[in-house]
Amino acid sequence: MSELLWASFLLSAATYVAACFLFVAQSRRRAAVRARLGPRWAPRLLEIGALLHLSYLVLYALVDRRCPVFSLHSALGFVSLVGVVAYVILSRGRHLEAIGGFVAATAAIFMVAARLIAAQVPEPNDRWLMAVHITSNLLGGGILLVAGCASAFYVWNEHRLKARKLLKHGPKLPPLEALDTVVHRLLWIGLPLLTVGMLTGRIVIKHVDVITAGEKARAGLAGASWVLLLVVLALRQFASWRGRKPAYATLVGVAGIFAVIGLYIVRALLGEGL
Amino acid sequence: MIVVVGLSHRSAPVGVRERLAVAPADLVSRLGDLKQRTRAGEMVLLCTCNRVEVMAAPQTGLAESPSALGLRIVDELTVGTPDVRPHLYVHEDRAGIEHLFRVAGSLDSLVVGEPQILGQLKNAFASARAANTVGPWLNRAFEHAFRVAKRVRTETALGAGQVSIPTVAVDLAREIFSELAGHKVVLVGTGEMATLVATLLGRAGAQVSVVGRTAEKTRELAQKLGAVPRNWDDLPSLLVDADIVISSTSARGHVITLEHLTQARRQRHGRNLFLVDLAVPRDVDPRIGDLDGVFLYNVDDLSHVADAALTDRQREAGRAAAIVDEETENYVRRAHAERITPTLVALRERFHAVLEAELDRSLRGQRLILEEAQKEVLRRALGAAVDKLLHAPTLRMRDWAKDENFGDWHTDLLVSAIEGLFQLNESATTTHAESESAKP
Repeated sequence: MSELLWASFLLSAATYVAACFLFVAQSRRRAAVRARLGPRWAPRLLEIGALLHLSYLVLYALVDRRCPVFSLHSALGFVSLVGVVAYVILSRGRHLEAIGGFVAATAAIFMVAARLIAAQVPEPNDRWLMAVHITSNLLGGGILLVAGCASAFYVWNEHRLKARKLLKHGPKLPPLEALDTVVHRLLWIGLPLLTVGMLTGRIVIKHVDVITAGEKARAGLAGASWVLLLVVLALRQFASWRGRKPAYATLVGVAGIFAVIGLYIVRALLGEGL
Repeated sequence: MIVVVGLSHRSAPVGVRERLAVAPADLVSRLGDLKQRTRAGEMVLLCTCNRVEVMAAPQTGLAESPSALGLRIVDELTVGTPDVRPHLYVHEDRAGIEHLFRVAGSLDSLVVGEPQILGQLKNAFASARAANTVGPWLNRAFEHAFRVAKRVRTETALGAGQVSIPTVAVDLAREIFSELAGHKVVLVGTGEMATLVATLLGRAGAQVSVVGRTAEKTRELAQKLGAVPRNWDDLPSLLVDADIVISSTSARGHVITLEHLTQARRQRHGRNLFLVDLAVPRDVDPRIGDLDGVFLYNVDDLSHVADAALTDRQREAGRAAAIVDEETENYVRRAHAERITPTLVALRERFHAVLEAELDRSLRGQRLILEEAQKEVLRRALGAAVDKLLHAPTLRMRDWAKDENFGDWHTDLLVSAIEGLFQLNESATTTHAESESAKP
């Protein structure tokens, strides 16, 4: 079993790296890659990598004999896998190769990082509530990771087009309109999941006897980020707010969410549980 | 030989170029005026969005150097705009020919290999011919330039897979809008380059509207593009819905102002707007480019984008440059050889005239009575002998004249020597008088 686990891990990471290489080469206007290899193989490799990644997570849960939700190792892999799946679904026909490279690289890095993190997180008392809380946050986080990446690319490409100095050998960045659409859709999917995570988080906190200042700050940061993303989504939906400013706001919101997730990981690594 | 005076995207920014720009409707009158003021023998005026150039040749028979004419053209072009002077270049003789060939071969274009310049050069030449300002020098130079352009097209891949200004503009539109189908395009004016951009966008599925000041011209262009003709007054309302605006009018001032866009933006709900200003002088207020969600590109900006594609064309451009060098060499050699041609023709005529005179005198003096057929045979035999005698020296002199090492000075000396030795500048009557005086 462990050999199979290792094989699926190595194959998955290698496939992600290969997909990343092809996406980046495609974005960097390498003629041969753009014409033949890139368009055909980069998305396929990413899909294959995602399947191998999923099989690795399942095998890991079986070997570990733990619910994957309560495993930091699986959680990290799960976030990146959700990001990959979100990209695969939304990228079709949209020329988002640069984001594909980022998603593939992130997935590979998260996989390797998860192997290096050996922290064991104690399972909480209210398992079902925590499972819903963590799962919805991981799903939302994975989706918002791609949204944040798309927003960053929007800001970059908008700046480049605005400055009228397209780099001679610079990457071919995704079209602004495609990025705007992708961010909008990802916010529509990711924010409700995050909302579930926020609400369940409120319930979890109510059962906690002592809330530290750090936990309050963390909850405050998560709430502020959630409100910011909600405002962006509402203004986009009802006032057609588009362009650089919402992209910046999305980027800040997603950064806030990932800062909270990062703090959770640090906390878990310090052995303080979830 | 010729002189080329002008400025281009290489020597001057759009803000300077637009000060010398001539509207197509004023081209012929400006050409005639310039030719008269500079006392040029021949002149062609090329005015595109990337260059304003005057190709000229001195009047025949005045023995004026092209450089003197070039200075007069510079003075005339900078009347009222002295700050343009540092941006002007002057190419004389061989350099002038080489420049003309490079322009025709699209090697000096903003986007190397773009095909529009040849059509623009042909139009400029046709306008000059219509204005009767073309003589033998420019006629020969331009005809040769068109042949050079054809050679470059057929013998190199300079034009294959090219990135012209219209395709650069369309690529940029794709960087903003991804798929162009269904997007609204407004074409302002009827400029050639802008029309090409609109054509490409229309082919990609965009909905094109054409706005022009002349209703009939606008309708014709709209019909040609499969677009919707709109009145000039509709422009502000069209800016509200437009995704892409391409402007290329010959207006002296801004056609799309900051006020236009500021008002339109309130109703655009943050949608991106791509503005392509291909006009010189510019149609779009440059301050518009600072607005959020507005991407304004003028011809210079497009040239910077197009530079990215240049590296892929260096090899082909190198081959094309070699063709231009070879053709320049051929042209200059031929031009040198042709300098001696009138002298050689005069020499041959002189020999034949002397022969005729001597034959007549001999036949009269000997009181021989020959039939016309016999006289003709004799005349032909002697004529052939003269031709044979002159054949070798003629070839040798042509070779010398073609040889660049021989130089202009030696060619002039040779021409003077032949003319002096054989008294070629004297009238034809001299021959007759000479033969009469030589009678026994």
